[in-house]
Amino acid sequence: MKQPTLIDKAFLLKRTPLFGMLDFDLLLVVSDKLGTMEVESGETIFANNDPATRMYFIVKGAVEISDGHQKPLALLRSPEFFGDEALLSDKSRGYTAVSKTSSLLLSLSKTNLFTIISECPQVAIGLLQTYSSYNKFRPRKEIAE
Amino acid sequence: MADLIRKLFNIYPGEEKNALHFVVLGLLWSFAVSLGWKNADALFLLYVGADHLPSAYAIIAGFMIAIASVMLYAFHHFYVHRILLSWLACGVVFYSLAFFCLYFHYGTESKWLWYALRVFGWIFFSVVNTSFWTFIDQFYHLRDSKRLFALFSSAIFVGIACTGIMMQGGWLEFYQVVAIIITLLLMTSFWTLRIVKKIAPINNDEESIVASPVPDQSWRHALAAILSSKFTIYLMVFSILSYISLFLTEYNYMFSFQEIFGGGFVAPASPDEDAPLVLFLGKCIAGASIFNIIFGLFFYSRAARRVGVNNLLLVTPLLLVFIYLGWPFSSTLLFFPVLAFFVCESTYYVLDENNFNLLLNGIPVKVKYITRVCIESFFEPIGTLTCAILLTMFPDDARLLALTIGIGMLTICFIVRMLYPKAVYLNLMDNAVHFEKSPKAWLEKLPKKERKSAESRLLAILKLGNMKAHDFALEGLIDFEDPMVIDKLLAIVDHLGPKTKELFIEKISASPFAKEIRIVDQLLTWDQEDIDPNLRATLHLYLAKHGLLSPQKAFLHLKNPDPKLKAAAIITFRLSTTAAASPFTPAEMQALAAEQLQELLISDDVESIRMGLYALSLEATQDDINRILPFLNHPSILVARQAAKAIAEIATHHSVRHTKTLLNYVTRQSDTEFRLALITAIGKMADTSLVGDIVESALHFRPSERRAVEKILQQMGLKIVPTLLSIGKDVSLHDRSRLLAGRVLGRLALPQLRANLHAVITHEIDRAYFYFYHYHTLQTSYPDYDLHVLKDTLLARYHSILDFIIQMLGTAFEVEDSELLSRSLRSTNPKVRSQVLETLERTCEPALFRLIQPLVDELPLHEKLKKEPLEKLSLPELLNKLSSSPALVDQVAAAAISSTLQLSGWRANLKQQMVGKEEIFHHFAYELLET
Repeated sequence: MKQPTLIDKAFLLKRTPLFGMLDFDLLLVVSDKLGTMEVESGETIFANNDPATRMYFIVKGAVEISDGHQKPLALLRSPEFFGDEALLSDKSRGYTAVSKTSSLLLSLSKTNLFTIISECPQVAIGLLQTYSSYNKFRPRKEIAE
Repeated sequence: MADLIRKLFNIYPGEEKNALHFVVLGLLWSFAVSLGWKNADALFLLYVGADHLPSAYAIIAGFMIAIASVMLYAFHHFYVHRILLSWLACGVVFYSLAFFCLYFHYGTESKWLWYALRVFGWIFFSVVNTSFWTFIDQFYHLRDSKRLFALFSSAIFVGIACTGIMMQGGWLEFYQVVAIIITLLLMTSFWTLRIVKKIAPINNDEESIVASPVPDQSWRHALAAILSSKFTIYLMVFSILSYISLFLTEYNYMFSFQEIFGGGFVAPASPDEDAPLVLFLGKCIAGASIFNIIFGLFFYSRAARRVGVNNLLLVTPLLLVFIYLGWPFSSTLLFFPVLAFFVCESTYYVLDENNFNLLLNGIPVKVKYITRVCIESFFEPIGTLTCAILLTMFPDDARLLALTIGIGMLTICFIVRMLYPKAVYLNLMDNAVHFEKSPKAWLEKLPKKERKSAESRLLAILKLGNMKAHDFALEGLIDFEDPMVIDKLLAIVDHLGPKTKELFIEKISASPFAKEIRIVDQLLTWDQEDIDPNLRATLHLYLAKHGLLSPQKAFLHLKNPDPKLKAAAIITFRLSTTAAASPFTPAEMQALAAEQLQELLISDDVESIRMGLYALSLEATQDDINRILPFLNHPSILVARQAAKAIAEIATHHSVRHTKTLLNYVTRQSDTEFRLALITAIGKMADTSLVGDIVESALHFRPSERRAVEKILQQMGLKIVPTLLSIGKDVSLHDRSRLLAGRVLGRLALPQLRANLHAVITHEIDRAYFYFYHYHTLQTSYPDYDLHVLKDTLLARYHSILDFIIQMLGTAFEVEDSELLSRSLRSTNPKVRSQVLETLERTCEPALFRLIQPLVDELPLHEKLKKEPLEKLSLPELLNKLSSSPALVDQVAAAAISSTLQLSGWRANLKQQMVGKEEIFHHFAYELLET
């Protein structure tokens, strides 16, 4: 599979809700920190309860997300991202990610993600927008009877 | 007893079990592998002879180059433990065949069996050694490596010493030795699997990619990364010279041993009989191994920490030079050959192997494993081959050759020693995110071919994409700052829609190409065409800014409802100095422009005000700042931003009286664009009397804003140095303000900063211990109270002071990105943390590093708590001290805890405390008092 160039990586980021607000110069900075991963069909990218150090962006292919009991939750394609939740919650992985086709992924380390957020608050806003777009109502603790 | 053992072996509590696992692994494989290798060495001399060593070296070299390629591929595609296990399996197969040959005396008469054993023994040791260290490297970071790797290498020496003892004892026949080798290899495999199951490797953000079996980069990139690191290149040269020298030295002492023992020596009829040379070699091996074990266990790690790895590197080259300078004067004595043997069998392993494992941390992370394999697998055979060629060409000058190589090693060694501290820091920098880098710098960094491909990719995105893609591609292509690219861009943009053309004009207007004739020509051509009104408005605004819009055309726009066109007309009229080809006199034009400008500025429409401010900022006077200032308060952030930009455009040192006002605006508004524009304006005003206020206002700035403040302070020059020094030393100020002063001082007046550093750091260390000690001991002293808020505050303050110390040290010792050091020290990744400590240790004064070492080193808590603070306070005393601390967080925590615990007189104390405090503290205090 052809490895993405710095520009390809930057353009992929531009298409994600997370980094869509960033200018070209900042996109290059972030792209430089992205690792590239090729995964075969059926290969596990990470499993439920694994320690979390990186988040992933799909360049090519499809990734299936399933819960701890192998129940499929979603099928993700480019330019979607995954693996971010555990980085932010500082917990181990809460789901399993398996490549459904041979896929090309970009990955960003937790340290770098946090540095980028501290420098570019737009990225944090992008994350919040992504989360809130999936939640009509944020679950809260039940009211005590 | 356990404590004594831990101290002796430099093991921290809790590390014993894991360390023992690796010690056993090292012992098992080294005993197995060295049994095969060392016996084969001795038997080769007996049955083949030292004359054949060069051909054996050449065969080893040939095989090793092939095997190194396999290793490089394997490290790129398989997990390290699988590679180690595969090699162990190969060993089992080979020695099983050897056992068969020896037991049935099949091929024992021919030289080839001994050649095979010699060649395999050497190669096997090399590959298993590489795999073992790469495997172990996953579990430890640099600081731990310094303490523990010597222990693990000692385990290897114990294995080799066992080999020496077995050889010297001569109790077993060789086929029985081979059977032991097979058993030991099987045990090693089992133990490796056990470690993989029981011990988790350190998660390294970067290395998890590099060490995983997924290729992240091409060989070209890897090569480029290696070549871009001077340290890596010199370390590689040093390694290759080491290998050549190792083989030359081995040849020299072997030849001397054969000469010395040759007189009364008769080769035994069968491999089962003992020979004096074998027994002597066995003694030497055992002796060298015992030395290695003692030195490795008790001295190496201490020496590495005290003297530094980079200094230990000098030992072997110096010894070699000494040996080869002295050898010609006593060629019949055993002293120099034995010393040469000692260098080959001891210093190479106990010093250079350990040094190498630590020096690898100066190599860029992305190529660390590749470099290790290159050095250990490729360079060893290259060294062997070079040695074989040199010995064939100059058979009588082996010692002279070795002396030359030794001198070469010594020279390179000095260079490596010099480059190491910087290399560790650069490695740390490599993990950092480089926000300061411009797109032009990124693109220039790309190789020519990749740059070309980036250009084609951006042009393709421009042709096919939507507006978001157009925005991205236009920005990228303009950032190339290449006239050829601009030509191509113009040709494509000409065929794109009006929105993209508008975007193009906006972006090119802010670029260095704004006034280029080709751009102007293209825009004038568009102006001739029947285009979208919005595009025409943007186009005319551009032309007006550059004085290219005719007053006649401008006059038509003067009363146009489109604010852009009106602004274009105003700008044209304001910029016009002659009335040529105009129906108005210059004075009339100025008056008309002023009238229309006022209309824009008093409008309710955001866009109109923005355009008015934009028009005002071009060709403005200092007095216009007064007109713009009220707009900084405008409820629309777009207007406020435009006002800030307009002031930044107009400001000069003549508008210095506005500095204080602008500073107030900066602290009141949180928008980065707004703040950065006003910081630029303040920088242009350069009011040195307000340095203290500027530094203080930067307290809550974001990183980019802080960098901008640093830049403007730096531009103010040496006259602000005394003020900065007093800020840096003032403990009543916030740490961040003091740090900012320190960073600017580091660039403006480094000697002055260093001269004051010791006192500042010593005081801060005492403060850090104070918070650290009370954080860990307070709750134990008051088990009935809920003190978690206070504990959190104490911990936060400890971290903040530690940040201050680390960054101040970084600044004073010219670590470019001192903020990176403190950020990395908080990393969850132990490997990154260890690089920070190594950088500090290598860069700052040893006395200063020793002071902070107990705080930053990853020692067990009880070790850290051994150093007690100057003040040990009870809870009321502590709260009292915190309430008078300069830090707001301390004051708030003290007040909150006093209120929660209902300490006597807390209300009266709080009221007293409120005098002269910040507004925020007052709010908080009232809340507490009302409850």
